[in-house]
Amino acid sequence: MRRFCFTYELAIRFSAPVSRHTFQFRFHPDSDARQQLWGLETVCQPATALPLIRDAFGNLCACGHVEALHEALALRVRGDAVIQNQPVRAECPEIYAMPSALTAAEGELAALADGLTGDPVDAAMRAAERVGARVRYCRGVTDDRTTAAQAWALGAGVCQDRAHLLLAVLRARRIPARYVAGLIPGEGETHAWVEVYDGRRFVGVDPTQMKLAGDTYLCVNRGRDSRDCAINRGVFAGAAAQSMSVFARMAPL
Amino acid sequence: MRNLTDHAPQINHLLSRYGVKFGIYKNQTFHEQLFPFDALPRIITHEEFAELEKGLIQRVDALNLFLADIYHEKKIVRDGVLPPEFLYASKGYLPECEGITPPAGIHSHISGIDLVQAQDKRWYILEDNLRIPSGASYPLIARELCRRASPETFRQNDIVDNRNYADMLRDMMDYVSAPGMRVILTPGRYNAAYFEHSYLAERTDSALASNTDLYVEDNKVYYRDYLGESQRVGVIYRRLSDEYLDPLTFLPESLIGVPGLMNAYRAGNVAIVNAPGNGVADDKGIYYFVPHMIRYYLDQEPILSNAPTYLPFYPDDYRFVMEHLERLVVKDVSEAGGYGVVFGRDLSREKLEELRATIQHEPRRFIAQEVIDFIDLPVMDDGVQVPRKADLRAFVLSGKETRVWPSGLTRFSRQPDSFVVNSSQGGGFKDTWVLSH
Repeated sequence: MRRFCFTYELAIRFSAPVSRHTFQFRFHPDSDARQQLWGLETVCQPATALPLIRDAFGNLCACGHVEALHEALALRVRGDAVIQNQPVRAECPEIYAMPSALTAAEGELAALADGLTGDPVDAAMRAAERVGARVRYCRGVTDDRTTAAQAWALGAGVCQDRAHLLLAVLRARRIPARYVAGLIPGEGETHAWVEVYDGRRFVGVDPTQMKLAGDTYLCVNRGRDSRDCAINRGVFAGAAAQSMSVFARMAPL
Repeated sequence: MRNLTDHAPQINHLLSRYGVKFGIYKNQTFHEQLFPFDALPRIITHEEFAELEKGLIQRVDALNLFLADIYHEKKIVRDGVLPPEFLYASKGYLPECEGITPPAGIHSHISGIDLVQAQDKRWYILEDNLRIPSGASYPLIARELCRRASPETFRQNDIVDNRNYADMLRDMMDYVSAPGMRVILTPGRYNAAYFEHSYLAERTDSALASNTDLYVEDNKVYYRDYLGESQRVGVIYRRLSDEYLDPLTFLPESLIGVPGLMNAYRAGNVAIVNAPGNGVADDKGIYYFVPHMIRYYLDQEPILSNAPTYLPFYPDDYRFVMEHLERLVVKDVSEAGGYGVVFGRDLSREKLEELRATIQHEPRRFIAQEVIDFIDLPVMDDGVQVPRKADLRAFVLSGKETRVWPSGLTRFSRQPDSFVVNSSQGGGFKDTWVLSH
């Protein structure tokens, strides 16, 4: 069991004033048997109502609307967490065994799943090694639309791409697994890993750090792939370019 | 009848003046064309309609139960009636809609069920349209013009008045509505059925809105009128497809959707007519399973039959389809509106082989059906009656109860020997009379 405090800050700047800005902000880590949250606080500027609702994948999601002209939007979340990482019996929706838009196992990728039998968690660790052997960690070569197959062809990517690749390989063998977006101790951006279903419970596997995701992993969102876990999506009126900066921090208490 | 056919040119002229048009996309450009009206009605007897009505209500009730099940427990999959492949591979299944219970629990509020009548007078269901079936306004306005052109026809014949469609629609909208006003959401005038959107908005006393008139705040939907005043919206009869509905949930590049709408809907603060995600139930691949659904959910035998259908996904059906391809009609399950429909008998040997190879490659993508030799209806062509293939789209509305509109859209093919009657393929339409006794 570990205690942490964390912050997440999102700042969007517009090159010209925009209005009628509707956004969906998905950064509300939930308490469950695995992790407990305290003092969670979300601040939005400009101030607006942020009603929470649980989405189709069980993530809490806030939808805000800023009608008046504004040149920036800032969202800041802070809170404390106790992570136990106790294995908990859970049901697994069948859909997590099916390939999704970003995790289709095309071509060579399907072959990567060959011989992956036995315990799903072992299979996931072996698959993660196969992925890691080929796809080196490299920022800036992929983006949020890069598919698993594209990252494989590039031979490079970030944690998100490695998670997609691991999901593609597992799902090619019909092993149910889901994408997780969350935080690990440190400063910078959010992290992504995979939870594989072993028939009774979900077990976290991190194909970037090549280890099981233990009691230093704070889960924020889960879904089929990164698209279901997007922290922010927004639409606004105005001819403006936007630049976005993110700062995440998690530290032991 | 003479009276009506004599007036047909004037009626068509009025239809075009009122803008009763149908838009189609050909080679990426938009063409608006008239939807030619034929004055000879299709006549359905009282007894025949009573039977159709029972069968349609049964079918739509089962489809609604199916949709509620699919987006919650999926018992029909767990019990082995529907193979999971068909659910998860269906483009119409939207995981984003998981767990949503729409207001009043209704998913398909307006169902357009396409039927044909075979030579032996039996009716067969060709397809279910549970997303945004269009077309009710065409017979509606044609009936009005016919009544004006020849009032005595409607005095002398015992025809059920069909002018209550808008009232039925409005009652249904009010029944499922959250607190707030009625809105018809249109993607705009470059839509195939724009005429219908504006007509139904007027007739149901709803605001005709485009997405910029609507916004979501605190998970509630508001309509902003031309004075800038905002009013809460309780029900949206939307005439745009699911993927464009909310750029924050579906296609991010959609410019015609309402951002945040899905959250308001999920929170139960607005009703969406028809519910998003219905495509999973009118998928051509799921069609095969509808009679099974009726037995599964209602424990009843289907009153109306499907056309005999084969799923190449099943090995037995696959062999049958491969052996009899030249007499079957093959449909691509991911296409709509008469696109992706191929008659084996029209294909050259070479094309037939190509089709075989495509089916072999992607068996789940196709269904194959026996060609039903459906009846011809008389159509006036240059003053002469000629026989043309015709189908019927029945409109079933589900609100407090499930009701069948006592009329429907009869579409006919304008080419002799053609079985494709879709308006997007250039067909014409007729009024549909249901006799009152």
